[in-house]
Amino acid sequence: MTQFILRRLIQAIPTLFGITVLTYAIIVAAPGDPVSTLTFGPRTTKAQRVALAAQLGTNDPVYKQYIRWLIGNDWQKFPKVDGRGNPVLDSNGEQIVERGTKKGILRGDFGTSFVTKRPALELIIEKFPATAELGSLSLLVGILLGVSIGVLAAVQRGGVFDNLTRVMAVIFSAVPVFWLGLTLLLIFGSWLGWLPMGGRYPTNYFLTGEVSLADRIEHLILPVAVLSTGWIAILSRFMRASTLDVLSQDYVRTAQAKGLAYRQIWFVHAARNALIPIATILGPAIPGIIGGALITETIFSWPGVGRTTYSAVLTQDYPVIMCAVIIVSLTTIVGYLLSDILYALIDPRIRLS
Amino acid sequence: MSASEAAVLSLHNEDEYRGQTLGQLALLRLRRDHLTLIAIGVILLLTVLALLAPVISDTLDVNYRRTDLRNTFAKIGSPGHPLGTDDLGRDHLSRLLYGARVSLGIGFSAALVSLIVGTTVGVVAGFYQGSRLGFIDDLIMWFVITLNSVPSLFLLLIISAMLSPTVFTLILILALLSWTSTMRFVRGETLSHRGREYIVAAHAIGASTPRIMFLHILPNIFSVLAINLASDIGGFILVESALSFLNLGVRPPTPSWGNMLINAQTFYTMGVHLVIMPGLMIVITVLCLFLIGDGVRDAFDPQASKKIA
Repeated sequence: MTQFILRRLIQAIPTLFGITVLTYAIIVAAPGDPVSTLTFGPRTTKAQRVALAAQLGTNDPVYKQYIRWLIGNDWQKFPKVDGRGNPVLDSNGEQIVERGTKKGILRGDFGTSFVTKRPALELIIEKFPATAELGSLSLLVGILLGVSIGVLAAVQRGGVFDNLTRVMAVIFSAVPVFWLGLTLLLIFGSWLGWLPMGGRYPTNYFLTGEVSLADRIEHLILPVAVLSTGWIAILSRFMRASTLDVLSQDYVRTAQAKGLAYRQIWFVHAARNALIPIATILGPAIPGIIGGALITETIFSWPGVGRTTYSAVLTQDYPVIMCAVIIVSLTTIVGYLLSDILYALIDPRIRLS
Repeated sequence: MSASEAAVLSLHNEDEYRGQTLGQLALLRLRRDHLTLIAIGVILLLTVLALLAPVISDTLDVNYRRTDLRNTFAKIGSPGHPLGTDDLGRDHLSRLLYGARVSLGIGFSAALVSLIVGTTVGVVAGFYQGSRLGFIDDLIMWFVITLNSVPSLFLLLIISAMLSPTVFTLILILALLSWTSTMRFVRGETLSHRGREYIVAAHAIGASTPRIMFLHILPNIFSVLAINLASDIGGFILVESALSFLNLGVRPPTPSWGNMLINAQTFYTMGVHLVIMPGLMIVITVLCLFLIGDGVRDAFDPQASKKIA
């Protein structure tokens, strides 16, 4: 097992490398350059721009800049210049030489946000709990409902419940996430007024700093409902097919012959084995769900990673965008890995090679 | 026994179906599949309506770009505007019809481009896998795995924000970020075809590598691919609408079903029809495309439908 996990971790290295190359390529291709962003002023002379470009290293070949982005430049020494690009001299009249300040993304330095001037990683990590809360609850609701619906549909194969859930699953796969959110807000927020129109905490939280559990649940219901429909649709279909496979096996017939209660046969004997293939679709479903989370967070003003990324995209805040893409991709890779490990754990027949 | 199973069984019993090709049999099965036929009908109707958008707008004397600030948020059934008007007083029906042109057009073109790219790359990768030029496959697979690890909506957002795409570049962006599943499928199929006798024979008579790839292997796997086209179009319409809703896809004033919903949250009290109608159009279109996809797949593979039913 340890060997299997180690091998999978090693396999992830080229993918991680690819992600950094892809992200960096996008930023290189982006219009505008940091020098003109930093020297946005009528007084800056061309000579100062040239000096600043030399200091920032934007004249270096792209691969050098990429490596510096990865591992930083605090091992290099640079002649010191001020914000306008003029050399800074010490008392002897010689230019001061100092080390670079970038640590590189491998040591967690993604640069500072152009907008808030705070470290990009800090901005993203700060939003992570909100997204994790929304995502894990949706996954939980999705698995509970999806699995039960799938088992019941398989048991009553061809019955009213089965056909109804089948139709629902097809319809929900065709509903855009954003429109589902808009419609639910319209019905439960605007018309009925039962649930808040968005946000994670009620407005008075920002005055009093207090929030009750009921308030938090109220704010969670709609976004979780929107996000979990995707899981429910996928899982119920998958669980149904997988339960049907299991129900036709001998050991289930034996359990019936022993006179066990049907509920016990379905949900304990059959569901247990039918759950095994579910582990394989959890990993590949993650990227889609993260995309859905971005849209859901935007609609419901949920202060998470997705909404932060979206506003960073709108303001072209590249350090934050790059940090978000890498963190999200990292989450995806870990998700794939966990899904594989889970699969190997619950099904001893899987060969680990 | 479900209706589709009955259809399949009766097919095997009746003599008139003997000696039919796979395609003819599939067509026969499709003809009995009423749900799929209805879905095809709806999509055809929508396509015709979208194509006739200028004619319909002229007949009703409305224009999808003409604003009328004295007549904003008109309700459904208002005189002169059958489906009301939007926040700028533009006719909603004609905007929905022009939106259909954009959404259907983008969905169809993107699915086609992604099919072509995915197939080409897949055949090449599968053909060279494990051979002397195996590094080509390794490189391609490395790229594909990398691309799959980044949630595609993030990449779409960033690239769209940078390029401010036109409809044409949007199609390219959508297609170039989503050909990987087609590619993986084609690669697998090519691997299984590569060793078969007809390919060995083609090698033996000295056929060139591109000829074997695209004139021998490709036609044999293309039918399986074409079956997925309808669901792919549906998927692209969903992605395009999400992107346009986030104001990073088709830019206003060009209407698309997604960007008509950009300000939907401010229409809640003024004009609910502006929130409901564009979304409903997306749901109906995508649902029909998915149903067609399922129906066609079942028609070509009766075994699969038996298993699912």
